[in-house]
Amino acid sequence: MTIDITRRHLIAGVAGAAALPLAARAQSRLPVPKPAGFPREPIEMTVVYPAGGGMDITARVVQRFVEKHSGERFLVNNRTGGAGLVGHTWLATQAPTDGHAVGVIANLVISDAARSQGRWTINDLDHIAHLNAEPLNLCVNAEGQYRSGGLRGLLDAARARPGTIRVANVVGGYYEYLIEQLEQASGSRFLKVPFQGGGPGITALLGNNVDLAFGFFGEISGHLAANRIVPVAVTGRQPSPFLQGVPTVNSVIGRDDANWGVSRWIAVPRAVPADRKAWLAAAFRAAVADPELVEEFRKLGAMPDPALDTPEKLNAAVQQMAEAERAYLIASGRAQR
Amino acid sequence: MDPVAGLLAGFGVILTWQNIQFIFIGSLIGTLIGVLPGIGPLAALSLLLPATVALPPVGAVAMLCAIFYGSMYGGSITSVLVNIPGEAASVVTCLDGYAMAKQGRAGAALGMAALGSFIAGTLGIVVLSVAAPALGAFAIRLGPPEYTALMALGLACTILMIQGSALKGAIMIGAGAALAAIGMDIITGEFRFNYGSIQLSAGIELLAVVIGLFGVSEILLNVENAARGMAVKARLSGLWPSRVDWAASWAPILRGSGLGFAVGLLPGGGPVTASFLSYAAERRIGKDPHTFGKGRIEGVAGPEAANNAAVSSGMIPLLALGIPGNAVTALLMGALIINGVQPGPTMMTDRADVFWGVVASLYIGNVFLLILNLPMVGLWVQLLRVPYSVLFPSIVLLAMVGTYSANRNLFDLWVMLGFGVLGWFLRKLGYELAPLVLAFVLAPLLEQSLRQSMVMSPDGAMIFLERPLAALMLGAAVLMLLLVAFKGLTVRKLGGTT
Amino acid sequence: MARLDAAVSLFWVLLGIVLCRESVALGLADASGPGSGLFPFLAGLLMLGGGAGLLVRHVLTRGGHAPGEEIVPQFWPAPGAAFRVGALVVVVAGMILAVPYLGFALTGVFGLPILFRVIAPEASWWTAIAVGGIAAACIHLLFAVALGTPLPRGPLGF
Repeated sequence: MTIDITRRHLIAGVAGAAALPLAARAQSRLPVPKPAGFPREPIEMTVVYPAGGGMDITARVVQRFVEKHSGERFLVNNRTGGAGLVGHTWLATQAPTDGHAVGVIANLVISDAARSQGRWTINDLDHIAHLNAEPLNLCVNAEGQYRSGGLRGLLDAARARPGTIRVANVVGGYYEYLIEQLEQASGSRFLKVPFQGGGPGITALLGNNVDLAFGFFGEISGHLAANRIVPVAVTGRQPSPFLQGVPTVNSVIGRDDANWGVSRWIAVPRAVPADRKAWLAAAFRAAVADPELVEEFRKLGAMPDPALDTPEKLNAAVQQMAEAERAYLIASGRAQR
Repeated sequence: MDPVAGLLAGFGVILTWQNIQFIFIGSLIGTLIGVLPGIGPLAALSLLLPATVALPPVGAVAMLCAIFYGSMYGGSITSVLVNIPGEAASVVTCLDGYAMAKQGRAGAALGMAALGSFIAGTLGIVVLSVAAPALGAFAIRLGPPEYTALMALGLACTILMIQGSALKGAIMIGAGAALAAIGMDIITGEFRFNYGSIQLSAGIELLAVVIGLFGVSEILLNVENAARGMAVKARLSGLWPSRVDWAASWAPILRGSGLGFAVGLLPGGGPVTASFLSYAAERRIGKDPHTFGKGRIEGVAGPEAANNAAVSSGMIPLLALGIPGNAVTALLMGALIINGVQPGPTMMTDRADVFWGVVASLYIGNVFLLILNLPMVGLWVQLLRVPYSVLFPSIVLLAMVGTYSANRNLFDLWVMLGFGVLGWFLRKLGYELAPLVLAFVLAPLLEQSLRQSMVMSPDGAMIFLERPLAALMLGAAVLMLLLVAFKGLTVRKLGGTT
Repeated sequence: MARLDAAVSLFWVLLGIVLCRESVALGLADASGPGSGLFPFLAGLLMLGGGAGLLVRHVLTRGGHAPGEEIVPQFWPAPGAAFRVGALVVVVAGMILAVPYLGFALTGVFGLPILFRVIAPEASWWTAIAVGGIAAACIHLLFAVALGTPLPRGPLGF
């Protein structure tokens, strides 16, 4: 790479005009006609979590490919605050409805909708393109006292000495639900140490300040490679393709609903005109179908779901996720029917 | 790879014409965003993140790092010249730096800030290159009990910062802690004091608070007098730190470096905390504490050294362990991942080129910044000749755009304005605002780690005694409080300080 | 000033009381230790205690203060100060209200000249408009063009 090219890249990037090669513009051949007069400016992909996090990285990778396939410019924009609540609320109630604002969101939007105290629901958004999904990985310290017994051994230890196993928790979500399921399986209580997200929990695990922590692949892969932590189980119906030989939580504790994980997709405000929605959906779909993007996702530890290839199927899946969560909340006594 | 060989290899990686350009551009942008109030390193890095995707990983991360520590250099400039912190870690620099500028010694303050930053930054990097793995391994063992003790020690130090009425200082500490409680309680997941508002549920943005309390309030105080004049009317005597300045400053710079390095190493700690603690320490150690705030160069040299040292040591958990300790290093980690480098303990061996390249870039960047900043002192001081009537409206708009760009949230602008009026009002009544900001930063960390400790301990508060380091630091905090209380009683001046 | 100081001290006492009561409602302790309300409660106590102490001091010393406590002798130091401060706050508030409709650049073009005139009433409107326009343009170039910040746009597309 010569200096001149890089400098131009840099300046182009700094100028916010990550100028697409002209070839990319010509390449655009989506199966859906481009709506008249749209887009007239870069489309903002809103991420409701901070720059540099898992959602943000996913969004920036997707941005490259959706630009390639649509021939239009997209920008990633972080609207942070309140662990996602502010950004989700903005998307559902305030975002422009002309199609220039799309949200890169995850199933965490479901619990945020519940926290919005009735201001909005997930039906205020139209869920147009699925990106990827990944399970939670349950890990123990590679030098800790539970390093060899697997999840079973940990649960047995919990039964033998109730109230001594320290688990990293993130309140009000999947971490908490999963811990409850583990508690039920062991018939004892854990010490649920709360952290602000999965990453800090993994850090505490590395320092042996907790005995069990959950993390997404991106949060653990570096430590796995260095043999600092050992995966003992994964959530979901199938074992993870990234962790060979690690059983599912379901198979260890004999249930079928320990499927907590993250599922990421693109959503737009409901009021966006149908033709623009369809074009956006096609653009993101084309990006996700690109084998190069699938490879990028794999590097991050996530997999696209080929079954969710239309907005209709995605919307149905989102409803299903919301119902599954609600069913769990009711079963665990958190919500009334 | 041993440090010397690694570092040599790192310089081999970084010393290409192209990488040098990236570091230079990063230093320049960093200085600029440091100078501009409102926009801080976090906002600038997230804005520039997309631009780095097209670059090779070492160059990209080197540039982003340069922006981060460059902003620490630049932040002091606005603090000294117009009494408005260029970014949050330069809040305390206003206290003595601006007082020096009013005495015509802006050049000495700026020069010492740049030199202190350089010395501390470089010392930090030397320790980073020699001992990163060992220090990283040590830092990771520290858990919630140690943080609790450390934050308690930090809050106890806040009391040493109070210059006027201790009672008013206590109120400000309380107000800072109360403001920080607004939003989500991470331990229970419940909202506190949000009164049904989604905006309040997100908590109050530190940047908006700092810009309001120090920036907007300063402007309000100044427009009271129909200001025809310039920022500082006093004659400028000498642009360089004198021999006397050096004699006074070398020890604070070294102390600031050590303190900043230790604070930056810990998750949650960062340049902001480091600069406050260094100021408190200098006031405690220095002769004639009552002259602090009236133009003591120690009050500039120490904190400016501390915030740069904290930036250097903050790289250790990130580069050696793949653990970001604060929001800016979290963003740097994202930049590494986007560029295909997985940060973590294996990075030192798997991607030694990136690890040592970035470390080497820190040396180069600090040299650039010194070269950029020292000769420019004279130029910056010319800023004092810009009339208020031009400077202040521009700063208002800058602060608005900068504050907005942090979260893309208009509510933050109202917070900024509200805290501006509040700060203006309280300053007239002799309330000091620095303890409020420090409590705002430290109280949530203290609360979180204290409650985490209590949850993870099967036998309650005993956990603090079972862990020697935590016990030691808690003991120091208690001792400090007792010392202050005892001195206060002997002085027997109600509302007076030691 | 001593009276105002005392009034503000009373305000802290009241605010402290409110905060403590709300914190008790949140719960000072739960099964595992400190509860959601403990820290806000302590913060309220600090304000309450500090404010009460200031009131006591006011009574005992008849409005005296501590060394190093820099209270301004007069709340409004100069004639017209209240107007200038009020005008500045109102203009900035107006600018914040205008941002979603006009965007930052246009808001600056309209707002900065007024701020300029508030601070330097002796200058002409032409100078004010020129200075405001140039400052707004520079800031727009820096943020929107050079840094690529996604900012609200105005009717003219920037």
